[in-house]
Parts: sequence; structure tokens; C-alpha cells
Amino acid sequence: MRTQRYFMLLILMLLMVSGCAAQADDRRNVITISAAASMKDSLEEIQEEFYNVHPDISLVFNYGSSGALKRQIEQGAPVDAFLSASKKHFVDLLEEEYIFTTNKNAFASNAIVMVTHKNSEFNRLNELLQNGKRIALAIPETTPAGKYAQEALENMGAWESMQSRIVFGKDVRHVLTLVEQQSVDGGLVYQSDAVSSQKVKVIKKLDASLYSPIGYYAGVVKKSENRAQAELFTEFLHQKISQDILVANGFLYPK
Amino acid sequence: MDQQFWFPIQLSLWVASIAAIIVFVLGILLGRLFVSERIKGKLIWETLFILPLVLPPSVIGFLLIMIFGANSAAGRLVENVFGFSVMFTPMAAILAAIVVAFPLMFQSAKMGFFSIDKDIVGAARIDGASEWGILRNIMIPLAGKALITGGILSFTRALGEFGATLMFAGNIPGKTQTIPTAIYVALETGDTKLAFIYVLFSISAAFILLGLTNVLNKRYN
Repeated sequence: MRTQRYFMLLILMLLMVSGCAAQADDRRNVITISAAASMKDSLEEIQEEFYNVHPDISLVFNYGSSGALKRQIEQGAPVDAFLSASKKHFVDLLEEEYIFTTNKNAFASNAIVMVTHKNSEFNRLNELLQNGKRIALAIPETTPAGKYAQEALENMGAWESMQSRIVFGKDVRHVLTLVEQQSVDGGLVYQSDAVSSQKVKVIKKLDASLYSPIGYYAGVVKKSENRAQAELFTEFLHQKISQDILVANGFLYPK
Repeated sequence: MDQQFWFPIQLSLWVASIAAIIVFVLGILLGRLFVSERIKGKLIWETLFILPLVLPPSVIGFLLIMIFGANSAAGRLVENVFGFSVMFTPMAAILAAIVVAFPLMFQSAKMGFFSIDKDIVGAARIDGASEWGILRNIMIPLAGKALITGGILSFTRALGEFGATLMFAGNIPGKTQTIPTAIYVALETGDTKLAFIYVLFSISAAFILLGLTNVLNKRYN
């Protein structure tokens, strides 16, 4: 019977795949770190370095957008440390006393860059700001990247004239996709996102004086039962070994 | 392929299976209740049950962490009883999947029961069948197609649940990362190839399951 065969296929698939569901790491000190998803590659490399120094601590990461991660912490999520891609979310949680920090400075920075498709004929920033070219940036009201991009355009005196030619993506990743698919002529994104795509090229790193400083911040959740271990990790992020990894992935040293 | 790759697939299948079973039973019981009995505030309850179908999943996720988070009464109760908080566990993913999949099962079950000839149920009742017996021996078999369709749709919906899961269960690789949240991270880090493999798996699973409902419909018609 066809139906039976269908069911068999289904059950087979379930059995094949489920095998033995893996158990979470049972080593003594497991700390959970909420982090911006865009930092995943760097964090996995930092995790290895951290393990070399502190083999008794194992790290698990919880990835999301900084805003969502902040709400989770406010609602008492079992998280030990918070790495924020936005200063505002970090400062809010400090002031609400959900987190504390041993180092108020940023552990990494980033830059806003103009990217085009790798086959694009455009190689200069001015070409993109003139002659009806369309560029994409993330929504300034909801994403820090969009806010920095808007500031930069304003300070270059291009915001007004660009108005009708700007396409707003929901986040940096969306902007990058628009450029990759050549739906727009160029896009303003973080340098760290630009290096992760093989289909775009950076034509201009915007001068850091054009927008507010970008910073990534680390704090320890006050309710955490592993505060000491979480502190070790957030402090590790401020060390050169971690920052070198971040820079290799397109981030910048903190200012 | 390594464990890291397979984990989201395994977890998603477990979560969707358990959620679908719970939703299947719950949907049948509540569907039965709402199709015949006069219930106070029936319309309000029904609307409430269907609501997750149209609410943005991130809103559902937010409500779930408000209800079960460590700061709420329900959250503390669970923590006292089980000794751990639900948030950021596979159980949270199951709960999120149940909430979003339930409307599909509830609707299907209600429709299925509704289409049964009232005289058949009436005759059974006159002949002395218990309500439980009527449900088990008459209503469930007669509404079988609708119930199975509802169950499969629920499983498929649970498999694809993203927004509420991300908020409530988190996105912890090897612990609570499901296929949809793994796709999100893969896209966010520019790992298009990995995202594509997971997407392919999602589409195939949905295709097989929805195909199954069509085969069933054809067979019974």
C-alpha cells in the first residue's frame, strides 16, 4: 500500500536521524553566553583559546540579536554572560542592574563599509552617491548598523539627496543579500559582515569620524551562579589573543 | 557529517514529534468538547486557541518568557517542582511548538467532528453508549482523515517553528538549536552552504509530509 510505504519511509527517516540524542556537556562549569549571531565564527575560535587556558570551564553560546538577548535576560533567562553588539542594550542592562561588568570599555569595534557586487562596475564611493544609484542600508530606527550608516550619509551631506534612492533592509544581513543579488547598486554594512561574503567587494571603508563609535561590550549576569567563570571569560575577550581573532574576522580593535 | 551538523535535525524531529503527539491528543479532546457541548464563552476560547496562528511568533515567544520566565509565578513554580527553569531547554522548544501547532489540530479536529452525521452519534447514545465510547468507537474513526491531516500539519508546523523558539528556548548549538534557528545562524554568519543543506532538508520533510496528507485524502475520497 502506498500509504504504508510512506509511513515506513517516515519512520525510517526518524530512526536514522534520531539515533541517540546527544546529551549536553556535563563538565562541572558550563557557562552560557548570549551573543550576537554575527560573532559566531570569532567566538568559536576564541572558545578554543579559552579552553587552552581554562580547561575546567566549558562554554555554550546562545545566538540572537542583541535586542532579543536583552529581553531574555530581563525575563530571567539562565544566561551567565552577555555580549552586546549595541552599547545601548548593554548600558540599559547595567542600569537596570541585570548585569555588571569588570570592564566598561568595548572589547571590539567595527567599521561601516560601502560594498558592491563583486562584478560591479563601480569602484568609487562618489559614483554610488550620484546619478540615481540605489543603495541599501539597515533600518536606522531598529538597527545600530542602520543608524551609523544614516549618520555617515548625513555627515557626508548625502542623506537628503539620497532619500528616494535608499532601500531599507531589515538588518545588515538583508542589506548584504540585496547587494549579493544585485537588487541595489551598493550597500552600507559592517566590515565584519562584508568579509563573510564572497559575492561582494568593499569599495570604501567610511572614515570613523563620520559616525558614532561602534563598540561590542561584555557583561556578567548578576543572577548567574557561575559569576567567577563568566568574569574570566568576559575578561578574556579584552585580551590581545581574543582581539586578534576578532580582527582576523573583520572586526576592529577597540578604540 | 558530524554531530554538530546532525544535532539540530535530531532535536527538531524530537521536538516536533513530542509536540505533535501532545497537540494531537489535546486537539481531539478540546475539538470534541467544542463541537457539541455548550461552553461558557465558547467564542472567546476558540478565538484564543486560534490566535497563535496569526500572531507574530516573536510575540508568542515574548509571552512565553513572560509566563514561564524566572521572574513569573508560573516560572518559579516549575523551577520549584522540577528543579530547573524551562527557559533555554528543549522543553521550552516543545512548549513553543505546541502553542503554534495547536490551532491547526484544533481546527482540523473540530471540522472532522462537525462533519459527522448527528444521527449516528444520537443513535449510539440511545443505544446506551458512553460519551467516551462514542468518541473512541464512532467519532474518532469517522473523523480519522481530518484528524490525521491535522496531526501531520501540526508536526510540519512544529518542525518549522522559529520565532517563538528563538525567544523562549534560545539558540544554543548542541542544546536547543533546531533546524530553523540553525538556518538563522548559518545565514547570519554567511555560511550559505550549511544554510542551504538545512533548507533542503526542511523543504523535503515538508514536501513528504504534505504529500502524505494528499495521498491520504485521495485514498479516502
